[in-house]
Amino acid sequence: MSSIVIPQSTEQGPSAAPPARVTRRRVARFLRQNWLFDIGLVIVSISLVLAVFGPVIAPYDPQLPTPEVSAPPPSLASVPGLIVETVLGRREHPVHWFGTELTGLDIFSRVLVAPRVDVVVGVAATAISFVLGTLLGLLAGFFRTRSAETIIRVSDTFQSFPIFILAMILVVLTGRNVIDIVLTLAALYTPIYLRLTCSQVVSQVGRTYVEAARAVGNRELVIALKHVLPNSLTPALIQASVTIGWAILFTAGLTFLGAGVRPPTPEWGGMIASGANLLILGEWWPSVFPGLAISITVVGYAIIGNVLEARYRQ
Amino acid sequence: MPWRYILRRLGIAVVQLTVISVAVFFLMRALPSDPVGHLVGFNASPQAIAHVRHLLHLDEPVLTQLAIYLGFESARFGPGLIQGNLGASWNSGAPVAEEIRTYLPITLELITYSFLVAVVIAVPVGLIGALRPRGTVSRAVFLYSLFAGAQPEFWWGLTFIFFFYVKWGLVPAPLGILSPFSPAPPRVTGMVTVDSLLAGNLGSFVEAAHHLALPVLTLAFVLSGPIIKMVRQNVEKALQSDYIMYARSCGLPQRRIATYTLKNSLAPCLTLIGILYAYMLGGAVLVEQVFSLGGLGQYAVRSILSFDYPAIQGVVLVTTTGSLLILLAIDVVHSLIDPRIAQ
Amino acid sequence: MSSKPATGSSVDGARAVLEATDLDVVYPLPDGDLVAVKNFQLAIRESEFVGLVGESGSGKSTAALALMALVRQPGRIARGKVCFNGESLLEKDDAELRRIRGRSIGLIVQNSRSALNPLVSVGDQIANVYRAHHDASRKEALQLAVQSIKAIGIPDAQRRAASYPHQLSGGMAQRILIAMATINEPQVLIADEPTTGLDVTVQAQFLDALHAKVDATGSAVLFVTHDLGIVAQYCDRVAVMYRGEVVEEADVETLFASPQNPYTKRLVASAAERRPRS
Repeated sequence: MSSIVIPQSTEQGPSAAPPARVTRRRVARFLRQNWLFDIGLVIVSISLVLAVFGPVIAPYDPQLPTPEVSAPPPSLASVPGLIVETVLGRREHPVHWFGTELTGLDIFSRVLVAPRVDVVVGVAATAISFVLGTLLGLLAGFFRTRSAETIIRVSDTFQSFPIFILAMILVVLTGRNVIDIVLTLAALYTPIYLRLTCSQVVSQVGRTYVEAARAVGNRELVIALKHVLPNSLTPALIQASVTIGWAILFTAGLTFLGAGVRPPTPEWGGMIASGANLLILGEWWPSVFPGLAISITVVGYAIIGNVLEARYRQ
Repeated sequence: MPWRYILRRLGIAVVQLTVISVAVFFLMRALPSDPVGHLVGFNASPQAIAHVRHLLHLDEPVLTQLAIYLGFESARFGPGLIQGNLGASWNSGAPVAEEIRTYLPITLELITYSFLVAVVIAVPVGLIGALRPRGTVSRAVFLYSLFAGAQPEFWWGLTFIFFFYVKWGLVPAPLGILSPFSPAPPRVTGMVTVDSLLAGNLGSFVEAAHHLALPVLTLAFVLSGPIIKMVRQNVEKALQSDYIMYARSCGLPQRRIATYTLKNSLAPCLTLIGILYAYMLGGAVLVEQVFSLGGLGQYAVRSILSFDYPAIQGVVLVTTTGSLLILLAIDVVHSLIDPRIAQ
Repeated sequence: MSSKPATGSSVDGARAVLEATDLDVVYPLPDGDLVAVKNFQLAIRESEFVGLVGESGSGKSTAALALMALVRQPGRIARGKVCFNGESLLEKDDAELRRIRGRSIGLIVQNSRSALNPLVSVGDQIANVYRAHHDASRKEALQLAVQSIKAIGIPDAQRRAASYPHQLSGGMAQRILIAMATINEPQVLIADEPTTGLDVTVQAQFLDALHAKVDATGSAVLFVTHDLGIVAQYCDRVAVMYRGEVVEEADVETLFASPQNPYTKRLVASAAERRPRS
């Protein structure tokens, strides 16, 4: 039998009830059904753990040269044996799992410690821009004052500004400290959260539960903060994970260009830069491993953001 | 043709350009660094500092400085923005406008080819990924676009160089668009591939294309991620829409349904491509650096790291203007496709 | 609860053009299947104006769409037969169904705003429905479209044909759907709550246009609605649905004069009664 199966109508009538709440059982079921999301969650968790405990876990001091200079990583065949030896504590010096670079610095330790900069910058910048952007977006969308709308119109004009170059300028001219990178990125990403939250708030304000809250006698600010805000955060929360990934890419790229974090602070982009010249000589390990680290980490954050977004759209 | 809307947008663009020019002026002054110190040295004598301040017109009132910058005081202080003068680079002494004229076309060349390749690949892939929303192909497309959009392009550029140049020798050394030994074709647009075609110099064209192969591959790779995602989402939305369902129930043939779907998904995708292109004017710097192409991004980095204020200012102005014009063009095309925009 | 009189092709000697027998439509939910339509039985004869009434959630829209072998995702037709001119629709492939839909069976939906393509002029959309089933150039089909717009009573038809859906009022857009659904003069027209959501005066305009059109072409109509007033005014026969099943079916006078089923009785009573002022 063949009949056309029509997709669900895209219309949604007005409803009196606020959107469904997130319960523990729903979360557990979601985690069980989405293996991709679980992978992303594992990656993100590892990156956060490394950001905090990286220096503790790293076998070598990331800034201290070792006698083994330009040593390649151990061959794949020898890895299981080396793992056994390490676990049994039979090794005098820890294995250089990722090899060493030109001055003998252990690449594995440097890769483990770099999240201290990359991930922390990403999370901090996103956190600041999230809080600022959503609050401003809530105000703009809820109170609909003339000044709020002009802010949005003005920000549209400045949409044309070259954000990468501007960010570079700000970072370099403020002295290239980690805090400057965080603040620059926060300034860059705030308009994103502002626009997202504002449009979400605007669509929520028309819903009946807001009117109901008003009818009961709540003050406007209370309605805004207690009722509308929690229901308007979903797009912003989804965007947060993606933004952290962007921030990591930006920090790495900036340091790669020589305009970011100052050496010798271990940072993935900087490591790739210093390893780039060695690539032509055939020494691939100084730049491949940090690159893999960036790639996997940002993919992890992207997975979370995209899977949540795909679910949210249904 | 929605003429009224186009004219209105053009009018707005003129206003925006003026606002941006003034904004850049104040932006440069708000930066947390001292240009005089960078030009003359931070330990210079007070006379030297005063002299330099006078040279930079920093001793004039702010509004006068703005007028000088814009070009309204050309009789007394020389040409300004309106006359096309962007100042002289502190690094090289050459007029910034000249230097940008050299570097900008290279970036445009790189970006345009990359976008062409990315679109040619991404649109069909996104389309296929939207046809059966829960199938294996769709999931694969989703995973690929997620992966591609999260990659550090500078690292991939290096990886490509390692395999295609170092290991396999398939492409020339990453030392720019032409080998240092090859003469460049006579300059018409500044884009090497275009100029060599215009001059009938096929050898030059092939060489430039060969050099551009890896950079374009790298950039197209990371661009394909967000473009595929946008195409897939929009085609899916169109396929599930009520008007497509109604068109099917009227017995419209598959080809007509396909035309409707494509037309309706095109508009938001165009907007994204425009925004990405505008972003890439400054954002392609990483690829430019890895392959030593000599584009605008590299010029920007050099200028920023050496605190070359006029050059920085010039780059910001030019890229912003470029972005504005691109976004304007996108808006106009959008209004041609979607009649609701012009209301 | 049901007291269904027998329906079928043989009543009154007239042949059924579109007929559903023992139709079940089922929606799979995480907690188990939901039977939206059960044992649906209905025959529509030539040039008949049949009403299908019920409250929201009674399954009337689902049943009406199923008569065209259309089901909203993720539902499916689990059981039963749908016959058009004696041929089973459910056994046909997509290509055959495409030939029938829009040509022999037309559909008018409730929301014209979302049913019309926002980026294509309404004239072109009507013309495309014609060209889907006839060999005609764009110009010829457009001319026919303009004429059809004029025929449903919309003034300045030439200009209207060139306009886009968002430029039309709700009532006008709804009437455009009539033109679209009837341009190929179908044998059966299925109208799924086309007047729900329209103002009363606009409703009247729509119904007049519809009635004039089907009078001219001789199409049979299945009119799904929850408005008994419309049923009383326009329908020859009416079937009443409750919770997915047809609970009563009769010609209009009989149904209103002497409803058999308790639900129908309540329905008719609540529509007819004017509450006395106290």
